Amino acid sequence: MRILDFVKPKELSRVARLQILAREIVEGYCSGRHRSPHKGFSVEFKEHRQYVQGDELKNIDWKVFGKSDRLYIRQYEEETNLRCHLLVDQSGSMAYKGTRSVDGLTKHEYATRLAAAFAYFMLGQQDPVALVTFDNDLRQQVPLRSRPSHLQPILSALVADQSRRDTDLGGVFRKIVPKVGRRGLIVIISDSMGDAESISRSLAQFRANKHEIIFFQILDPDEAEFPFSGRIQFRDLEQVIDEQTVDAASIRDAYQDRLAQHNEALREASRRSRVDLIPITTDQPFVDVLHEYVAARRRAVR
Amino acid sequence: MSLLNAALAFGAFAFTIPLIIHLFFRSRFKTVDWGAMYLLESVVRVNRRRMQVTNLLLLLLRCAIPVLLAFCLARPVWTGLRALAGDAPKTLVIAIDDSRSMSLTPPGEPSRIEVAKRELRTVLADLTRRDEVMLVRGSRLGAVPSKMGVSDALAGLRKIDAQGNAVSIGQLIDAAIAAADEGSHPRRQILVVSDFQAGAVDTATLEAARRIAETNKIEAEADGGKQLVIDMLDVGTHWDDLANVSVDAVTIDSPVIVSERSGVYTATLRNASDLPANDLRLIWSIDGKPLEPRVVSIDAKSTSTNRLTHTIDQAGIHEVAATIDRGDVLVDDNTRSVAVEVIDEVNVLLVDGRPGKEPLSGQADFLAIALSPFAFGGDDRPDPVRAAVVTSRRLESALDENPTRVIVLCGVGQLSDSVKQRMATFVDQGGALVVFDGPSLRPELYNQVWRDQDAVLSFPASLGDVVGNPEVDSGAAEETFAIDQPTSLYQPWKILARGSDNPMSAVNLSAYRAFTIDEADESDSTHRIVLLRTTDGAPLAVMDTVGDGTVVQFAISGNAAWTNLPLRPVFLPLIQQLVLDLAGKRSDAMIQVGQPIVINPNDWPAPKTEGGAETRTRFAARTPRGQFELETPDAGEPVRLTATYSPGVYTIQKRLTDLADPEKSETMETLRIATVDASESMLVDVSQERQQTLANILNAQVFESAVLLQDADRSRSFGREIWRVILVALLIALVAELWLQQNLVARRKITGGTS
Repeated sequence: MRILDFVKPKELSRVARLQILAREIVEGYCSGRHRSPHKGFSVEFKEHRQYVQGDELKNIDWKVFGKSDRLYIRQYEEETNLRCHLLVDQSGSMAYKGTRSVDGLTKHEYATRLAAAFAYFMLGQQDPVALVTFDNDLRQQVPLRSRPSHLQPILSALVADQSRRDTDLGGVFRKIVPKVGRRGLIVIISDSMGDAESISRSLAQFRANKHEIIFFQILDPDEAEFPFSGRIQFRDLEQVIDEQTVDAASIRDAYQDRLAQHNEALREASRRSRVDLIPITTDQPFVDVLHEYVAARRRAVR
Repeated sequence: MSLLNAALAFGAFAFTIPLIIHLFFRSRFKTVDWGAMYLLESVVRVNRRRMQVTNLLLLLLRCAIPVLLAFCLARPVWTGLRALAGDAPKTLVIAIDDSRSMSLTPPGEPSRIEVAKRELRTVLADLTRRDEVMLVRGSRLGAVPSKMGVSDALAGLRKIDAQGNAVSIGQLIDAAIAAADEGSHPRRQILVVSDFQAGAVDTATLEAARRIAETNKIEAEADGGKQLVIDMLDVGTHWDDLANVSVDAVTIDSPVIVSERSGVYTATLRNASDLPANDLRLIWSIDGKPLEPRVVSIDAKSTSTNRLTHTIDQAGIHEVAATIDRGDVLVDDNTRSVAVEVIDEVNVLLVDGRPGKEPLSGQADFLAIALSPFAFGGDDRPDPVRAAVVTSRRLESALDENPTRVIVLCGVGQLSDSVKQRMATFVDQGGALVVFDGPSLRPELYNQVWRDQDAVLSFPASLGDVVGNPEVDSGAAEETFAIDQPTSLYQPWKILARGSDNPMSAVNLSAYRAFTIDEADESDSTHRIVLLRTTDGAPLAVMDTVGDGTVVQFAISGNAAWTNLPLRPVFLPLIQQLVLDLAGKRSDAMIQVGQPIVINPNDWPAPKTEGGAETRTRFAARTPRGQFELETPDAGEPVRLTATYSPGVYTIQKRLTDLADPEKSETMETLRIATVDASESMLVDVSQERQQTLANILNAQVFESAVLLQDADRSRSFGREIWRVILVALLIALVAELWLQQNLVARRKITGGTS
């Protein structure tokens, strides 16, 4: 399995080009460019500080001691990597395929490609990337690594069997929270079909752990616009039993109201938790989505 | 409910088409694997019921449309309203009001009667050959209506014209019901055709209607098979501005018209229009010969009178007519005539009970002067009255000499039995007898009954003693009495009173005869009038009819013996008016249109020549509708003419032919004038309310046109066609379907989703 199975060469090159653009726009996309506020031991000297008992002896600047007969400790700026966790929704609802999406992809396929692109992008910058796929529970988990060869397991996890299970975003997020440590970048790719209240609470927990969160809400254009009419049986992708035969046109307005209400709740939750909520539809090119990502990152760094 | 095109009703099964389509599409649906069920589920749950209802409604509408269309085309008839047995033959009684107001002709339109005939033709055209028609005309309610077929009815209808007299709708319906009782079919319909004038629908009509309705109800209960329906066809125009000018009346002001003496006639003209009628030409005519036209003007909505003073030379009955020369909505009422009986000079015989040798000393002298003032004054002008003074002994011979209308007995105290018998006959045959009191009068003579073979003459007052002092010259203390105003009941003396003053105020009485009048006598008290009283209430003059004649008794003397009345100016008109009134016979030459003309044998003028031993008598009539022979009645029976259906002059001729000598024949004529009541010129339509009340009482319906009547009749007989209602329902269903489709189930092209 190669990256080219998921990302077309053209897209790869565009991703690469974007990397150049991004590098110019945002510092810290590549390894070593992430300025860390945490002081630690690194290659770049920052300042001296007087020795206090308990400090490691190896950190004493003996040259300064020779000159001034005082014990000083050398302090360096710590160079941290951006620990990126990709959270990809694999629930049944993601299996929806509209006619207008890019290359006729399902939402899940779209999300997979997007996640792959992110992973490649991150690893290209030598940032560690982890992957968690989930539906109503955690499914595949790939630990945090920054080696370029780490792309392989990530891609494998992404294409692992997709089930038609229902979604429980809130519950899953709460399970993930203890696993991802602190101060990371969390990229959620999901259609957010779940209780907005529960999602809101989970996002707050992420935020409490000082994570930076970018939430890509993936919807098919059909889901956003509901262009159906006539008698249509809506078969639930998550639960086999639930079938609704309705006259589609008659409920369009009501559906759109409900969608707007859901989105509003989600937006409100994101605002409270300072989550970057980026609604995208599957007919948007991936590049645009990366642009969105970069823009979001820039907002976060500021 | 029944269907006229029952086969088309099977088209209603087309309702299965939308039903099948519905069921077909119900099983045909797209399947979409849907992701966002989290959002859709709640929406569907909330809207499911509404959508189900909407869809069901839509399905029902779509099924209803072909059903309604099929029923509409099948022409259903609602028989719930049917009151009568379908096509059973019926008796149609057409009660048509052919009074004068029906001839009203609005400008540019046919007259009401023509409209009525046209509508009736439409009604008749709808009848079948089995139906029978009876025609009841308002002008001839007495006639027995005959049953006829439709074609005869049409012919009869053609002859109808509106010249009749006012007829009340109540009478008309009464006559129609009487006619309907003769109908051969149990199903009967009365159709009252009228313009429903206010006068025709009076309170009596409503009363009659109530009675009819009551009788009807009883009959309907007693005989369920009989079905009587009353309909009304109103051909009134409900037209506001009726530019009608009419002559409402022509009256004779003079108490008696004497030949070669001027008579006074008054015409009452009325203008019903809102505009004044200026410069109208009014033409008076005598026996059809017009006089010089006059120009008159009548203010808007008012009446005016026009007076004619004219002399008619020939004695006999003459026609005096007033005509307004103007074309208006009702032409027939622009002329009106009156029959005037012109008499030769009135012969009055004054019988002096105690003739005096000196002037004005006799009992009758003052009266003679008062009756013939011109002759007394040597004037050339003829007096209407020729008064001859005779003694009681010469009375009989004087009566033989001249035909006398009035005999005045002045203080006559004694009469032979033959004279009394003669007097009784004279009064019984229509003569007038006036008795003045006086010193020489003996009460016993007048307190007894004068008899001839058949005639009985009893005086209205029985005479008593003289009250007061009869001897003026006696020098005794003078007691005088005053006379009250003459009674207002006596028309000829109305002219005496000018203003409110008592014309008798200057008159004194020194004595009068006590009259005992049995005023409680009910048998003939209707004709008994006390003409004069003293201010104390004692009767001074009393009038009564006896037989065909009249008797007047005065309690005072005819000369100046007891009173100064003959010396007062009021005496002359008082006596003249009284005598002229007594001389002028109550003419019955005026009849209402429709009334029969009856001429008794002694109504004819006496033949001038003595007929032979055997004569043949023939009667003929000249009427506004032509000339024809009349049936000769049996001896002593009156001549009758019932066909007086048009206003105008009816001349009846009596021709006597001597059988021995056919060349020797004599023709006598008398005329009668038939007029229409002036109320027909009022042209006031009855109020809607009253008309409706009448209709409600009779359980009748009022129609404006025959088409509406036929519609109603058809629904009564066969039920009502209701396809219009269904068509409206169909249109509503179509619009509702479209609206529902557009607003609730808007269709759009499927642009997304895969199955």
